[in-house]
Amino acid sequence: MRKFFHDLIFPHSNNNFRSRLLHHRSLLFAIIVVLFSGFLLSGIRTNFPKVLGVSYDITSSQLLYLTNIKRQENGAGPLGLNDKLSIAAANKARNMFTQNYWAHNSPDGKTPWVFVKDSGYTYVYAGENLARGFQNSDEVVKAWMASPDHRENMLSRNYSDVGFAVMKGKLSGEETVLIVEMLGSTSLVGKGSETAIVPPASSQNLNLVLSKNETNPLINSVVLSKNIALVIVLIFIAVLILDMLVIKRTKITRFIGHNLDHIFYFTVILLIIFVVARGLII
Amino acid sequence: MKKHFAYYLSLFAILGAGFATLYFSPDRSFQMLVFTLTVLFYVLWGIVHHYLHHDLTAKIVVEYTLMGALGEAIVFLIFKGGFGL
Repeated sequence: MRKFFHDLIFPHSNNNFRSRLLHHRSLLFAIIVVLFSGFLLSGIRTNFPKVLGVSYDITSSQLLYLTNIKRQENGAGPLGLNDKLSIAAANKARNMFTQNYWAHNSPDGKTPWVFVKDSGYTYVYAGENLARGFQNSDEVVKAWMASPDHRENMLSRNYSDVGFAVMKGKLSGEETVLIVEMLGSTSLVGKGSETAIVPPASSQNLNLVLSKNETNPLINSVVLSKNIALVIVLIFIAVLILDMLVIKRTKITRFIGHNLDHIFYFTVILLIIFVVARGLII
Repeated sequence: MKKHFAYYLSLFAILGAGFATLYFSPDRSFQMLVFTLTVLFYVLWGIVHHYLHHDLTAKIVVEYTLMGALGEAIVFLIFKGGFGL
């Protein structure tokens, strides 16, 4: 076993002075295994959604609390949770899944303000923040705060009310969790809510967000696939570095591709894994 | 490394442009397309690089192709297994 791993990782005479993992056959084998894993995870997701799928811990009360904390830190008054705006947000989320779009305006030109008006909320100011693919409320609020436009919306003193919708569904074939935040005020000067900022009990509202038949799966498929991908990339980067250093020390000439090229390439893939696995905001 | 400086600069440009485009794309299909193009350019870059240094062999072409395919498979794993696309 020890010999096998030594042969797999270190270049020496028995593996033609090239780590066995970097041989063409090993690379081909790795490609097949990774592709197979992708199909396997997809199959498990489809057939056993209670085991593998998209899980999340995002609730309206957590989002409200975190938003109001950020507003307090920036000298703005707290927002009050408004039922009409929450209905508008839920209708917007439902419309996004039904019409399959990821944008502020629907393909048939419906703006967010239509949903606000239809809910019965007579706004003077209104704003919308969207997010998808996040696992918890903290990540959502942090992402919004990191984007100048979303941050401005969240901290604007023009708003006194807010409504949230957290909805799971399929968007362009991707199973995801949509978060819609509708902000508004019914007067020219947003006074802020009079209510105190109360921290929500952990996951207390989760069951209100998930529908009756919907429960969080045991394993989050995005986290699992991301972690598998990270391990594979890190193994290859480590072996490429080791192979390069050992050969540089022994000064053996090889007619192969440059390890350094592949190290840069896999480093970019490492960064890309983090980028594609993160949530998105618009 | 010094004699390869210009080549590595072009490699950073390819990988950097691919990463930046992907970073600012909110669409999964577009992300996959950008990544595939980045991989293709990487494989081509590797082949051209060795060709210009007069040490290009069939083995090297296969090596860059396999490395490219492995990267593609890894990102596919997240798109298929993670997002269910």
